[in-house]
Amino acid sequence: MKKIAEVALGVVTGIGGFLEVGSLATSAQGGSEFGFQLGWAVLLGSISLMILMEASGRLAAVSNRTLADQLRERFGIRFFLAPLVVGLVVSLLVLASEIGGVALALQMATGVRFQLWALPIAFLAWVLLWRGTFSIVENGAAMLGLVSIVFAVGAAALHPRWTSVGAGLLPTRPAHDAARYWYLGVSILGASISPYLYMFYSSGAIEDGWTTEDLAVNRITSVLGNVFGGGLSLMVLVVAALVFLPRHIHIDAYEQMGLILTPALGHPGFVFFLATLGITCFGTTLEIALAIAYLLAQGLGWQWSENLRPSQDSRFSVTYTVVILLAAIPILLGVNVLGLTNISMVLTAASLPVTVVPMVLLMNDRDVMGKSVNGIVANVALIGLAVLTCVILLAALPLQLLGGG
Amino acid sequence: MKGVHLVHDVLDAQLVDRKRQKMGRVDGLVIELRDGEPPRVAELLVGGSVLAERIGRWMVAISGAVSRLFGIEPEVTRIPFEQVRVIDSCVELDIDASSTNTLRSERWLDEHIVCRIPGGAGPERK
Repeated sequence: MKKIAEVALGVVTGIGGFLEVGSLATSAQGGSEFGFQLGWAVLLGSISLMILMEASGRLAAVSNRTLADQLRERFGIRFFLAPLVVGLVVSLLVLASEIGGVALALQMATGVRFQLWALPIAFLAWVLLWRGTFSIVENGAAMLGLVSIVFAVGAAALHPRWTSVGAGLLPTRPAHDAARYWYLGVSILGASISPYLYMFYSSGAIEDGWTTEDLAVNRITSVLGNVFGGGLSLMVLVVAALVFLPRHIHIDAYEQMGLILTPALGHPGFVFFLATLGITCFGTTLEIALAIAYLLAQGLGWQWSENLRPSQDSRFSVTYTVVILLAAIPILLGVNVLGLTNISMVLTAASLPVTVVPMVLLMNDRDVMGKSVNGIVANVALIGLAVLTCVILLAALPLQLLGGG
Repeated sequence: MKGVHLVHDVLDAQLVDRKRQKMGRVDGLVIELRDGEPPRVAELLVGGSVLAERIGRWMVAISGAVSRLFGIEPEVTRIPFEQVRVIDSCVELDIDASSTNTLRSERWLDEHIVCRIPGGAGPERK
């Protein structure tokens, strides 16, 4: 019974936690410019995240160490510096984008400029982390994030030709603007496969005290959570394709996305879109702030746990405090949030090899994994993914220059 | 006898005290060379400056500049190897973390910032 509840909770986390500023923006851009044709990027992104979450959850449950712990311990400080610095910088940019997403939702709801929302949002997020526990942060964000199911409702109401949606799940060459097409493909991948996600997930496994008995739960939740979460992300792309493409609307700012659900659902669609944007970005704000503090604390061996009083792990708590404040600054200054999001997603995609490639070694190390080392299927998937991330790294900069903006 | 690989199992490992309080990582190792006797592991080192030396000269320069800027004396904690009790996923020491300097910044932040914010201190668990 307890296991069923855990799986249910994991699936809820997958659904309620999948959409955030990056996946909303990139899926909507992809749909508005290329119809269903970039569906494969959403599918590939979800499968990749599934592989990485399953692996990092298994790593934590078996070895009682998080991914960040293992990266420092097995590869030493000189190597660890790369995932540490890259992870901190990229996550900070994504965090700023998420705060921007909440701020824009509030701007569209109230008419008050988004810059003015940056500090109140940062403060509220900080209070929740300061006073809350891990399960409040994780489950609260996931439950409220269920509002994003509205995109599935919206997509169904628009009666897309599902065979055409299915055809988009296989990659094809674009008929126009090839650079833009591949750029958006990489952005969608970066939005789905964020290092903070599987870093956070492996820390969560330790916070929740996972053991080898939780391996089945880990496997089921990482598969189902990403099937449903990725499905929702695909629905965003489908809705954008049906609403924006025929009207030749290119998304240059989040404000344009405000009416994405209105043709399907009327005025409630607008309200639900704002709720989805605001809530999911806020939930992700909490998770990324924690993920950054986890990474630094684990890498340097500090005391850390969201379940302790801040006084018990002051370096950890001060880290997420400073991080939230830092990330609020660009929003306070009024940066272009969509531009920031797009850059963050491409950088995220480019940052993947520094964690994914060493993961291949960790998951095959019997000293670390014992009997739970990767089997052939898991290895083919993980090694394939590692190669893919290296290709993305090489392609990211040229694509940003040719297809960004 | 089960062997221990110094670099694989000890260097960079999580250090915990006898109450399992996390107190940093093994940033360096000191091996003592003795006349007529085999070398032995003398000390574990914990400290940012040890870490900087392992990373490279550029990091030593950066961390030196940062500590001068903030007026922090870089400190290295030396833990005699005899204090080690267990080496597995963590290196467990037979000492109290509070008796060493490894928690200096943790305590400073606690006293000067965290404790002054409502909700910072309180019963052990939230």
